[in-house]
Amino acid sequence: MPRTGVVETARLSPAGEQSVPHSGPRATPSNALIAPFSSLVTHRDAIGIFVSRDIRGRYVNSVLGLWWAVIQPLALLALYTFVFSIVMRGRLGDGSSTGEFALYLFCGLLPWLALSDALTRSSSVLIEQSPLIKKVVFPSEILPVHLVLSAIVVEIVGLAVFLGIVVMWGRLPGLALLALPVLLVLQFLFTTGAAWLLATLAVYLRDVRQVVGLVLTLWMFLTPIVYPPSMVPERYQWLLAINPMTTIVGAYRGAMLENRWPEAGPLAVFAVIAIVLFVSGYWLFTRSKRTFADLL
Amino acid sequence: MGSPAIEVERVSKAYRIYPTPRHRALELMTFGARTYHTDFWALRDVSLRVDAGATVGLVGNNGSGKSTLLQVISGIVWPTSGRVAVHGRISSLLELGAGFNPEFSGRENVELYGIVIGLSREETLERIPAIEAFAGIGDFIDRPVKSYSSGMFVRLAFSAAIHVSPDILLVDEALAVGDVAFQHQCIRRIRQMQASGTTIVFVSHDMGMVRSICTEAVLLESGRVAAHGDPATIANIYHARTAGLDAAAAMRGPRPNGDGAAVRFHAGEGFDERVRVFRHGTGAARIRDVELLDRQGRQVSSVEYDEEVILRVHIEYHEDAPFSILGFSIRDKTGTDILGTNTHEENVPLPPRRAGDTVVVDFRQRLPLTGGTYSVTAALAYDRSKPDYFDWVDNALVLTVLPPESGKIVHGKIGLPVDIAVHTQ
Repeated sequence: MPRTGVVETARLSPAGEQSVPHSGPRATPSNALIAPFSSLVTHRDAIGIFVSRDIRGRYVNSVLGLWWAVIQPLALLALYTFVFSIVMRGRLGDGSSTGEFALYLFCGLLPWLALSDALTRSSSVLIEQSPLIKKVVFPSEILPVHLVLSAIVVEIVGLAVFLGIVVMWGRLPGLALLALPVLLVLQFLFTTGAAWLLATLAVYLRDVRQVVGLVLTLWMFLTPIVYPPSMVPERYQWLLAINPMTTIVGAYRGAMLENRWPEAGPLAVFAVIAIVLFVSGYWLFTRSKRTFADLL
Repeated sequence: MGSPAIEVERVSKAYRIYPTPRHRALELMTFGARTYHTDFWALRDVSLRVDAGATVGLVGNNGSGKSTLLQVISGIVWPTSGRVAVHGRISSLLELGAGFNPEFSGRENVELYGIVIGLSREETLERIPAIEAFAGIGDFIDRPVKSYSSGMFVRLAFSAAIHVSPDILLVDEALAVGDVAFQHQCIRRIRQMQASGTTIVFVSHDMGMVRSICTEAVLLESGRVAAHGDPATIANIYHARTAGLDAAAAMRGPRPNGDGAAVRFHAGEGFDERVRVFRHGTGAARIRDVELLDRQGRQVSSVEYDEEVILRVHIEYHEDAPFSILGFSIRDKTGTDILGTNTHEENVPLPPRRAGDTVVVDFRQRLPLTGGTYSVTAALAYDRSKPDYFDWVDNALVLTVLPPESGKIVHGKIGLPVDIAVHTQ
């Protein structure tokens, strides 16, 4: 009788041959492509409860509870408006108001915060959850996934609050809002792939946690978030062009502020990058996970 | 032989030990061209077949590889070489409440636990009433786990782990926790699971439990299977190794000085060295060995509840001693004297001895003690008027009393015979 599907089914056979857990009999190339997606489906219950636990965990026992998900983006928006629009007198360059600039900035910041939060936490999640990994038979690949989803849920709350502000500002968004789900899905694939990679590397090299913090800061300032891409001199434009987050940030702004659909070309490139990262991240993670218990 | 539930074939497990994390990074960067690690072999060439429905006790000293073996069977740790095949759903209880979040309520943690180990949401919710009832922590189920006493935590975690109806249950010393009532509740539950055909592998240092629950037992030593057989035999071998006796003696093989043979003085091998830090006294006479023998005169280290044993003390006199009194005391783990007497109280005076003489004294005694380990103190005094001792030896012997096989619970420290009369109108 074979094992029932819930437990780790992979085993090292005498010949050293391996099978990938939860992905059926054999890892063919097409299986490797599907494996990360089917893993999400298989573990949807677990992922769901982990995400809800994480979101409530952020605010559990605080007096305002889930309201913090709303208060935090509002407070950030106020802060950024003050610093960048009033103190530094940032403008979009075409004579628009300071308030416009704050909206513009904040719209780019929301997806960035989700990415940054998910990647920072993913690089330490396996270490923090080592009791689970060392003592419980457990699909550890869902740990980075739930952090990404949790960050995206917080982002969605932020986007909703932001949308309210945009409407109060007198701008009515249009049909381009329908691009948001696509953006969120692509962002999820991209972030999850990176999260799997970082989580795996961090087990081998604890220094990854420090490196991630540093790289994220650099990356944020190399992404047109606190400035519009048009302000970057011509000879540095390539830096924006090779940065996948430029596309995603621009696409959010288009959808939320300008009723503009994302450009198909760059978005397709981003989609390919996201899927490649997602598949290869999963591959690396599941290949390495058998050593996690030894190293943690 | 039934169908196998667990097959472990020639499994070895090495852990790489690096002097510092930097050395691991260096080795990664050179792609293993240079190595900086030393291997620690937690398991060496272990083969084990567990039939479906069997209950196997894993025994051995700390560091002998018991926990690693459970981790390998459960699939948490991958063997360096060898093969493991498992047939059926496993629930492993390697650490109680692993993954419990102290901020969340017991109910939420149980839900999460069920999901984590692979139940569906519905299956988990279905089991919650039973888990709640078994844990018996009342309203605390809806309070944050951080407000629990350690006992409540254990009850809930254990209850969650055994209610997932696994085909195979792996337990790592988890049964040693909780109060006595809860332990008995756990054992009852485990017997139910046995009856329903669950395969169980558990690690324990409690030989009484191994003997009473297991259908077989495995002794691990330094990562190898040292012995595999029926629980009573393995328990005896384990006790013997712990007490430093050879296995043959522990198997209760015949000894030359058994019944019928003349009782001869001897100095115990390694005895002086072992008790050096536990003894005081003038040294004008010395206790040279203390032995525990069963009725047939075979050396033993574990005895049945209420078994009659012989405590044999070998004494050598270095000076003339017209009077001497030999006494013993059996102490429990906490150091409380449970039983004891001496030759003066019992009116069996020792004969006057001269320098160079020896004497061997047997105390024949029943041990109606509650299960556990006990130490024996032996002392040789001058006479009642002098406070001095020739020799006083604590921990002269360590022995284990096994709980009654009938399953009878000994309340308190000693279980003496009792007559119960029930009068009805």
